[in-house]
Amino acid sequence: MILSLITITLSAAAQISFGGYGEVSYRNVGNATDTFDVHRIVLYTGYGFDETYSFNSEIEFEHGDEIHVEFAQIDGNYSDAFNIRAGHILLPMGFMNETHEPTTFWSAKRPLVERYIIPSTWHENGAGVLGTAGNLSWQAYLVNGTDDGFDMQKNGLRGGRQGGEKAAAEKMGVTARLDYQATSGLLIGAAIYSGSTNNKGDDVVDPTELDHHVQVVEAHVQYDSGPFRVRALFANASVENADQLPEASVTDDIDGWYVEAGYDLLSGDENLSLTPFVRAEQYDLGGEEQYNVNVLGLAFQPNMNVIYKLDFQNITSEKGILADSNNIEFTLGWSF
Amino acid sequence: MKIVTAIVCATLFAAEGKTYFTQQEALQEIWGEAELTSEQYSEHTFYMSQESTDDSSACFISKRVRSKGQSLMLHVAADGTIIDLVVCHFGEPVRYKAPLRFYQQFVGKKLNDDLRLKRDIDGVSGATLTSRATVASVRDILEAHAEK
Repeated sequence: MILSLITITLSAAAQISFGGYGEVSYRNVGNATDTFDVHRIVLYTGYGFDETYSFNSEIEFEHGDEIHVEFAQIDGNYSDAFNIRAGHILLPMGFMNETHEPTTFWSAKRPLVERYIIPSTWHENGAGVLGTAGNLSWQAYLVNGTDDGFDMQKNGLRGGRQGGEKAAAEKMGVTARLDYQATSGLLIGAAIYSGSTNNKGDDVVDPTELDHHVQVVEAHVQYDSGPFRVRALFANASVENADQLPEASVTDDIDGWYVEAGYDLLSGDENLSLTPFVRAEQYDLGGEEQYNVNVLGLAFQPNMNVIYKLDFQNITSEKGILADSNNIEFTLGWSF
Repeated sequence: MKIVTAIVCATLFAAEGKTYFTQQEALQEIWGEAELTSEQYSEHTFYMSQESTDDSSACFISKRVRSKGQSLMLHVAADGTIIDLVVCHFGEPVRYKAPLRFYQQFVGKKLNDDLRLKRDIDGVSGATLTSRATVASVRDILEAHAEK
């Protein structure tokens, strides 16, 4: 009997996946209070029901006191070319939204274009299909539409994310992504989101009941070969009738881009990495909110699952609501 | 040396994840229904066809990626050149599987100090652990093959 129980337990354990990642960050910000934050601790768990169906999830603890379900999905893996995913899912936009373990990028913080234009981490409830065919990979999902709680000049599309928490779903959205691995080091891809907004109960009701159709498009390219990696991304977001949102915007369109390059000085050792990098970034949240962000940094990995990051950021804006600043950020990150 | 009449992969592959080829199917992709022999080097079993004249061999290996395994078959020429690399089983979620181009990089290469990530092999952003497990698997097999 005991042997049977042990066997069953071991059998179940063999189906369980467990992992995680985390970031602790120190920010010395030129014109604001310096902070030292347990930014996120993320636990990943999965369970394989059989050869086809599996459950995968990430639960995130942010700033020590917030808990978010980042994704919780059932995958039906039928073949490389055709799979089904349903549940609470990450939208397949940009470099960061799906893959944001701290060991996969060099800077202490994610690029701001992938914070404001692509509001990562962007996760909603929905279902769709995904697959690969040779060197092409694709995804397409139907998800609940965004909320209309944008404050576009302040934080881009971030206020529209519902995060799956009793999400209003009167209006839906679709998102799709296509990537092509042109060579072993060259990746080219693009993604789109298109959907109408919901008016969630805790917002000021929009008396006009206008359709605020939201569209986000992005294109990305990355060359990652040997010690050298460069990636570039452009993103544009538009919201129809944005001047009549509960938080009126002065423009329907916001956009941004960045180019980032780094060179691993310890490329001779596959278990170590020391990468100086630079990033030039520009984003425009409409009106006078136009920012230039230049980042110079150093990322050190004493073990490929641990990373120390040090950044110097220069943020300038001729007229934006945020004053120009020179910031220093340090992040300790890990993933397993 | 022993005659291999049937190969069952149940012990190598866990139930979770995606199995693309059983060991038997993968070997049939190379040699069809030909009768096979096997030899053991450094705890790795190399399979060969009695009917083949090229003296190539194939070996299976399974390594952990994140918390689940990836199982590969490496088809190696007599001089140690990689003829083909086949993913037989991938236990992690499909998002961590490397694209075909990544695996194709190994074909035509031999064991040397540059057969590593950041040198002759380009890694995959977002599938770093898969890249590392694959390189380690290939090097393990080629090191054992060098003993032949």
